[in-house]
Amino acid sequence: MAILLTVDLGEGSTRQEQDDSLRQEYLGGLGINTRLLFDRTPAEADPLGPENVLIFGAGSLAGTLLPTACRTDVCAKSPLSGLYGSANAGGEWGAQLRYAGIDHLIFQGRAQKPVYLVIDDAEVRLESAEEIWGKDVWASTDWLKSRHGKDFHVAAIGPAGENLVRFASIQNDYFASWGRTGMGAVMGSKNLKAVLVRGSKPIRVADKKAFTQVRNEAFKRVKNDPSFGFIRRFGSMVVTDPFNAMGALPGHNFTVGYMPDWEQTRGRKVFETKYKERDVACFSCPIACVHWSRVKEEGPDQGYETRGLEVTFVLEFGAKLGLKHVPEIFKCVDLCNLYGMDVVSAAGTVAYLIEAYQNGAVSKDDLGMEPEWGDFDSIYRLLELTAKRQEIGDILAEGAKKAAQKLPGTEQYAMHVNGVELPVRDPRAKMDVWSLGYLTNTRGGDSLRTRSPVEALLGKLKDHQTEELGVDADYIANLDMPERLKKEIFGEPPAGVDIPAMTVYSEDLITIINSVGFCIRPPVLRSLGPDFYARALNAAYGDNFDEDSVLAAAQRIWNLQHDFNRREGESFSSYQFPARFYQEPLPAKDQSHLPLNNKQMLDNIREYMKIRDWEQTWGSDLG
Amino acid sequence: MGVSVITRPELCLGCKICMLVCSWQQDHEFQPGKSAIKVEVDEKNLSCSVEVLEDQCTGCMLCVKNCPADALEKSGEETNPS
Repeated sequence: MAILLTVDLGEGSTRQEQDDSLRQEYLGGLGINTRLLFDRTPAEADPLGPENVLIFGAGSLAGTLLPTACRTDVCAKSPLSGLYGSANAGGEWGAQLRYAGIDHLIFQGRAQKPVYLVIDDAEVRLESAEEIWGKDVWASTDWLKSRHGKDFHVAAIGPAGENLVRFASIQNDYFASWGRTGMGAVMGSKNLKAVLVRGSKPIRVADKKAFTQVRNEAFKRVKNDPSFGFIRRFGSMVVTDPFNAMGALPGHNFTVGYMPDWEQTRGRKVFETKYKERDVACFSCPIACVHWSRVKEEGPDQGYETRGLEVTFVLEFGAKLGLKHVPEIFKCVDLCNLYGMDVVSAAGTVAYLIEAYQNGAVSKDDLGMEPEWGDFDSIYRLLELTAKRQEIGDILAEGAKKAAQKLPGTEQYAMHVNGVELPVRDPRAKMDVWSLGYLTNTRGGDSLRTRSPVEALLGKLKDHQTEELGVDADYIANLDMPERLKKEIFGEPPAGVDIPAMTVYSEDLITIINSVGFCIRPPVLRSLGPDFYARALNAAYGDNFDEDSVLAAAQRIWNLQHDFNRREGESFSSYQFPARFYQEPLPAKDQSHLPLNNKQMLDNIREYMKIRDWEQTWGSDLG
Repeated sequence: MGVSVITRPELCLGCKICMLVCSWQQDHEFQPGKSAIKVEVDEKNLSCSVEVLEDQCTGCMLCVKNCPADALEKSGEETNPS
């Protein structure tokens, strides 16, 4: 059973429904959100118009004592890509929604004046947000918690969402973000400032004994995963040094993959020794991948405190924009937290502009400044102008793809796939599952929906369709993955990783994870698979899933996202990188990485689509 | 019964696993508000307070056993509910 609460912002009314079948087919969270989005948003709807729906969906296992079971998907038609939009965040918001007795919260229409929604157990009401409209996220959240109670959890937009910056985020209790694809702009277009939630209803499970077993098993497997200690210690910063070693940095808008002073200025040991203060976890999570940081060294920034450092922050502001000093990176991230902007798209759009300027396509007179890689003042100013839609910021707020349409001669500097700015790692360094996932991701150029559970970052490619295995045969034998898929992906005996097949599987696995509300951090991604999630759902709800039916549901969800995109105009030509990646080598440490081989890329895309059984959709494009 | 759990809020991760374990132990359901241990997270500076509600705590020690951060410790003898 799933409880859906629909809020009509135009009428100011609410309607609650109970659905007994959606979870069987779509699992929960992101999955049910996808179905609701497809059914409730008409084709070709303006993403910033009243016909778009904005849906918050708590994972169907959020709020139970399973490791990391707290996450929430937010879904709408994206104003950045014009396609399926989705963002995922943790914290306690989603668990509290479920404790209030709601699984999915759907906003339709548009309020005439700024409002916020309070969900206080069974009491749901809209209140005027006029006093906080225009205020930043932190001031707004302070005001709301002071007014209603600090035990409420707050999803709020900042001025970027109000200004309809196409990559505006929704912030989650100050620091966490529903970041990508512009969900904050959709919220702003509806005059919806915030959603507060707290609940006191208990969540009960269908089979207490089975649930206890599943819970104990999950905690044991997650804690025993070899990555657990590293992720507690470094968080996502664990990969920052390997990315540099690989020559895979997105340096200076994807023009340089290696920086010789990287480890000394922005590496994981620097983070650990100079900034990290405390480990922090999301609700129900034993990993604690988040940290609280403080600038310890003497200087003008001494004492600066914030949440961080995430690898995305350091790769986006530190590599893509070239900022060398971690305190400067903290400040850029906090600007995004305050105004409510996606870090990746904000950095990617500013990087597009800086490179356009450096190549003479945009002038100093156009900008009123001379931005440079690593120049904090100009970078911070450009981010601020973007959030406020002032001066050049009014164009940058459109995202790199649309900005390039307004600034002639700059298209070659816009690094996006389907309008979504590419994140953190250059595909030319290694055209593996991660990199192929940038093209196949239904939400556009993004790395978080396609992650191999046996990922070996520093491993090599055996050929353009096969990665080195990176783990031994025993590991494969114990991996929670259907045996038939192990043979398809790894071979028998295991010899390598088939890139197209693993891309499909990892997308399906992450679809399951985002539907039940778990996290994709390595200790979970690597240790729990479809069989576990089937048994967890069965214990919680009395369902009758097995590993095959849960994977089938994931494929149904992914196909529906793809159907949504096709309905909105996706074509085969969407599945390609910007020209740079096929034409320019990427300087790395000792030698440059070659440009991508387009024929090999297309081979992998076609194979991926055949595995997904999309031959009828794409026909002759598959060749 | 006396307080039998020592808390170290400076080590607390804010995960509230202790609260979920406690509510499960009581009634086999998940509702942190029913827990005999109360963790509050200041989301703005990510600091935690941890309080054991003496009149509700049965001394089962499940919070201690399940804390992923060594922020809780058993103190003295376990007490049994009367």
